[in-house]
Amino acid sequence: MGRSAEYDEFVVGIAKAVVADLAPDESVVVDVVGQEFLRDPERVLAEDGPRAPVLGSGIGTVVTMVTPVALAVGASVYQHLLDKAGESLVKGGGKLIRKVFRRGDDSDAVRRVVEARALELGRSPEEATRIADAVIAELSRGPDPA
Amino acid sequence: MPAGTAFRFVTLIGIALAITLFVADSFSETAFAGRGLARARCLVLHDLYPATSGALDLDGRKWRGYYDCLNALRGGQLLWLAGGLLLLALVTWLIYQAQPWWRIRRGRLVELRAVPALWARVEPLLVELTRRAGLPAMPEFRLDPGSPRAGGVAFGTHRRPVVALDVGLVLLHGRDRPAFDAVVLHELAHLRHRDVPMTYATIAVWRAVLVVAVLPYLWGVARAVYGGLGWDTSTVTLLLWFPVLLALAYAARTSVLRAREFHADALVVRWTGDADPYRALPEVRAPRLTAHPTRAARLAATNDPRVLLLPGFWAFFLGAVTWQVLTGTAEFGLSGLWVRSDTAGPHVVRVCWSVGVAVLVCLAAWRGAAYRRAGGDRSGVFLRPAAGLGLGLALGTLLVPTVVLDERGLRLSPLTWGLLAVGAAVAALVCGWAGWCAVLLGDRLRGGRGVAVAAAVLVVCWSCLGWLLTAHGYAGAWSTVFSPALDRLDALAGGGADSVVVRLVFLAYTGPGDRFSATAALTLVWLVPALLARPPRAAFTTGAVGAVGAVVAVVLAGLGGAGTPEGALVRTAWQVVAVVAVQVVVACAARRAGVVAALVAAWLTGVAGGAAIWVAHWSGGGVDAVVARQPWHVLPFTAVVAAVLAAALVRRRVPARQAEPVRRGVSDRSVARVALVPVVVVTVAVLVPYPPAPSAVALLPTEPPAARQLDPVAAMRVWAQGGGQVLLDDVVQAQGRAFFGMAAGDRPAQVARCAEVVDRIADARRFPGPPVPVARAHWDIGLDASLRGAQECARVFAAPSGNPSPVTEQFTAANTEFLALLRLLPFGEAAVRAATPSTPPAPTTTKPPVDLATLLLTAADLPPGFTVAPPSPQDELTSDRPECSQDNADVGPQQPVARAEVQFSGPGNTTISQWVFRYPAAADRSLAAITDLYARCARYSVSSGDITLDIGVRVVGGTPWVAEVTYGGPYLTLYSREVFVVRGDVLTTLSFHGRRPTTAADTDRLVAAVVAKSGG
Repeated sequence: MGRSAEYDEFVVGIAKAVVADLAPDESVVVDVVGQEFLRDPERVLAEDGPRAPVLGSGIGTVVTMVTPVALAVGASVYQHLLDKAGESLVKGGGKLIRKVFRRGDDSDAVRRVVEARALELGRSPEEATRIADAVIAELSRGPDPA
Repeated sequence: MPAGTAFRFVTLIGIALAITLFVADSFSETAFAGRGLARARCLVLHDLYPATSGALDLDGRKWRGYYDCLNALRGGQLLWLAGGLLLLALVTWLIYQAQPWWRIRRGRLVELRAVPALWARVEPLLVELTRRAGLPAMPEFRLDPGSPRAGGVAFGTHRRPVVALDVGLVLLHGRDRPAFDAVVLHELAHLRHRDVPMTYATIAVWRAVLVVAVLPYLWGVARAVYGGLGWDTSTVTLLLWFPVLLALAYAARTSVLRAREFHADALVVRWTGDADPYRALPEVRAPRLTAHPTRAARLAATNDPRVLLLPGFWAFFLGAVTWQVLTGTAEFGLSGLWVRSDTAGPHVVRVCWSVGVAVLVCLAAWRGAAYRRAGGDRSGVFLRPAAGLGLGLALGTLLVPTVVLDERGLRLSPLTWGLLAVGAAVAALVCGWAGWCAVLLGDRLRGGRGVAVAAAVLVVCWSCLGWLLTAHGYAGAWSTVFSPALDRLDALAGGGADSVVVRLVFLAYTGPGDRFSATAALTLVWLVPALLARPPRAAFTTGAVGAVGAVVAVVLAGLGGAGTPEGALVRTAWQVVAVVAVQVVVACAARRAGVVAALVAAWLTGVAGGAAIWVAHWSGGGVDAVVARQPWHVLPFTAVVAAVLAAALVRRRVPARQAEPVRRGVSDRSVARVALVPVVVVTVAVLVPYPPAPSAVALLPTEPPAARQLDPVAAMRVWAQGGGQVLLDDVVQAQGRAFFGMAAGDRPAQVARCAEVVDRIADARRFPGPPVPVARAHWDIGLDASLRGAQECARVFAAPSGNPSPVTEQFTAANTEFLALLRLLPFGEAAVRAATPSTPPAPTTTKPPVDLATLLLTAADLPPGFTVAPPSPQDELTSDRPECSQDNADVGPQQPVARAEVQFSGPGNTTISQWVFRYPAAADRSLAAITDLYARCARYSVSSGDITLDIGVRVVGGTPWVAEVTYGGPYLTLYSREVFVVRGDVLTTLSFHGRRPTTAADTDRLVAAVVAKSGG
C-alpha cells in the first residue's frame, strides 16, 4: 500500500473524481487499479504497461486510460500540499488536506502541479486542463459526507 | 489439440530427453569410474587404442573383454540414466504445478468476481463467449489491474483453467466489443484446443532441462577444466556441441508457442466470422520474436486457415535433427552395453530410428495431402517438408555424440559429406513419395489402406535411410576396405574405361546392403502407388520392350574380351552398365504414362537384364564372375534411379478428355491390379538364387591389411583419461609426502609414508603402462626409481639414523621421469608450465672490485666440467648457536673494506666457491678469530623453514688453514672442505661443496692457484 492511510484515501478519492468526470466507464476499475498503483506506481504508469507474459495473447495494443493519470496526479497534489502545510498538519487526514487547500486559496499552484504531471504522462494540454479542473473541483468540494 | 503443436511439443520432449540422457551418461562415466573415466579405462585395460588410419583393432578377444568391462558398469549407468529422467520429470512437474500460483502472485491478478461492479458488467458476456467457445464450464477469470494492454493470457492446469484479462481489455468491453470478444475468444480457444497444459508443460520442460541438465553439465565441465584436466579437445567439442542442442530445444519451445497462436486465431475466425478480428488493435510495438508470430503471419493464417495444414520446412528440419540427436544419444549411452556388434542392439536401434523417421515422413505426407484436399495450392506442398526432413536427417547425423566426439574426425571427410548429401536427397525423395501415396489414398487415409501405406513407408525408411545412422563410419572404412578394393579392381581391369566401369559397379554393389530388404523396399516404391491408382498398360508394354532391349544389351556388351576370370569380371560390369542404360531409356519412354509406368517398366527391364547376365555367365553349375552372381544387388536400385531421372526430365502426357480420372490415378489405359502379381513373382524368382562362382576372381585384396599405426596423441589421451593420469598423480603425491616428510623428524611416520609410496607404485604397476614407447619408458624408469627411493627411505628411517642422500637422489630421478611423462600427456604441458616458473632466473654475477678481481679463479683454472654459477641465495637461517652460523666476514675484530666472490658448479652437483676479503689491517687477525670460532663450533644445527641441518666441524689446521664441515639434512648429507689463505690484508676462502667428502688431493691444485694469484 501507499505511505499512509491518509495518502491512500486522498489519492484514490481524487482519482475517482477525475475518472467520474473524464472517463466514467473506468469508474468500475478505479479501486482495483488504485490498489495496484498504491502498491507499485511504476508498474501502473509504465508507458507500455508491465512486461507482457511470455504466453499472453501477444497483442501489444495499449488502451488509453485516464485512471493511471488520475492516480498519479492525486499523488502529486498530495505531495504538493504536504510540502506546503507540513506533515504535522496532515495527520488529520484527507479532510485536513482539503482544508489546507481551501484556506490557502492554492488553486493556481495545484493547477500547475496537475497540468505538469498530466503533460508529463503524455496527455494533451486540453486533457490536462480538464483533469486540473476536476481535481480543483474535487478539492474545493465540501467535506465528504463520510 | 492441433497436430502441429503436438508434433512440435514431441520434438521438444525429444530434445529434452536427449540432453538429459547425455548429461546423466556423462556423470555416470565419472561418478562410477572411481579412477579416471570408466569407458576409457576399459579401453586401456584391453589395449584398445585409436589408430592414425581410423582402422579398428580386429582382435575379437580384446573387444569381448572390453564389452565385458563395460557390462560391469551397466548398473550404475542405468541408475544414472533413470535418475536423470526421473529428476527431469519431477522438476518439470513441480514447475508445471507452481506456474499458476506463481503467475497469480507475481502479477497480483485479482479474481474478477472480487470486483463486483466490474463482474456485474462483464459476466453476461463472458458467459456467452464461453458458450460460444464450446467450453463445458466457465474458467476462472482474473484481472491484471496493472496492465493497460488489450491482451489476456490463458493459463492454469487441466483441472483449473484460468484466463487473465488486462484491465485495458476489460475497458474495451464498453468501447470496442468486437475487439474485446476477439481477444477473450482467443484465450478461450487455447482452452478449447486444450493446448494450455501442453504450453505450460513446454515452459516447464525447458526450465527443467536448464536446471536438471544444463547447469550440472556446465558445473561438471568447469570442475573438470579447473580441476586439472584442462581444455582438451573433447571438452571444447562438447562445449560447442551442447549450445547447438540447447538452441534446438529453444527453437522447439518457441515453435510450440507460436503454432498454438495460429490455431487459436483460426478458431476465433470461425467463431466470429471475421477474417481479421484484431484489426482494431494495432500493435504499438513488435511482438516478441520468441513467443508470438508477427501480426502479418497471423493475418495470413486467419485469411487462409488451410495454411495451418501446410507442412513447413523448419518444423520437419527441427523434427529430423531432434530425432537423429535423440536416437544417437540413446545409442551412445547404450553403446557397449547392448548396442554392440555381437547383439541385436544395432538392428533394434535401426528399427526404432526408422519408426521415428517414418512417423515424420507420414506426418508430412498426411498433412500435405490434407492441405491439397482442402484446396490448397499444389505446388511445392511436399517440397518444403521433404527438404527439411532430408537436410535435418543428414545434418543431425553430425550432432550425434559418437560423431561429435570421434577422434578420427571422420565427420569432416569429403566422403562423409558426400554420403550425407546422398542421404538428404534420398530422404527428400522418400518424403515426396509418401506424399504422393497419401494424395492417391485420398479420403481413405484413416482406414486399413492408410495403415498399410504407413507400414510401407516404415519399410522404405528402414531400408533406404537406415544407413544414415552410421554414415560417417563408411569414411572410416574407406581407407581400409574400399580404397584397397578399388585399387585391386583397377589392376584387374587394366585401367581405362574398363576400370571406371568396374569400379562404378563395385561401388553400386556395396550400396544397397542386404539384397532382400533393399529389393523389398524398392518393390514397395512402385507397388504401393500402382496398387492405389492401378498400373497403366504402358508400364507393361514398355517394360516388355525394355526386357528385350536388356537382353540384347547384355549380349552386345558381352561380346569380345578375354576369357580369363578378369575378363569375365569386366564383361559383367559392362553388361550391368548396359542394362542400366536401357532402364533409363525405358523409364523415360514410360514416364509419359506416369511415374508408376516408368518404375514398373524399368523394373521389368532390370529383371530381364539380371536373368540375361546369369545366362551369359553360366558355366559348370555356376557363374564366372562375382558380380554376375546376383545382379539384383544393384538393378532394382538403378530402376528406381532411372524412374526418378525420367520423372525429372520428361513431362507426363495427360489426355484432356481423361483429366478427371487421371487425377485420381485411374484411366481407361490402366489395367487391373492383378497384373502386378507376375511382376512380383518374377522379382522373387530372380532375387532368391545366388549361384556359386568358384572360378571367379576375388574383388577384395587377399593380402593382410597393413598393421595399425597407433595414434600417439589420441592413445595417450585415452590412457590418461582411463586412469593413467590419476595413478601418476597418486605416485607423485605420495612421493612428495615422503620427500618432505624426511624433515619432520617423526621417523615411524616417515616409514609409513615411504610404505605408502611403495603401495601406490604397486597400484600403478597393476595398470597397463602408457601405449607409446617413449612414454612407457619414462613410466617404467620413473616407477623403478621411485620404488628404490621408497625402499631406501623405509630402510633409513626405520633405523635411528642414516644417510638420506640416496633417497633424495632416487626421488629426484623419478620426478625427472614423471615430468617428462607428464609433458607427453595431452594436457601435461600446461600442468608443467603451471608448476614451474615461466622463465628461469637469469644468471647474475657480482662484479668484484677491480683490485680483488685479479685474485679470483676463472673457469680456466678449474677442472673440465665446471662453469661459473650465479651466487646462491641466502636463506633465512636460525641456529641453536647463532655465533657459529655467522658469516666468516663478520668474524673477528675488523670488517672487510672490500670483497669479491665467485662460484662454480660442476659434475655431481659439486660447487666451488671463492670469497676474497680485504681488511683495513692484516688479515691474519681475522683468520685467528675464524679458527677459534671453528674450534668452538664442533657441533651445532641450523634451520630453514621445516628443514634442519646438523652441522659437524672438524678442524684440520695447517697452512693454508683447513676445516671440514658436514651438513646432515633430512634429504641428504653434504660435505664441505674449506681452505683459508692469508696474504697481507687479504683473506681468501675456498669452499669445496658436494655430496662426497673432498680430499686434499682434490683441492691442492686450486689452492696453489689461489696462492699464486695472491702473490704467494
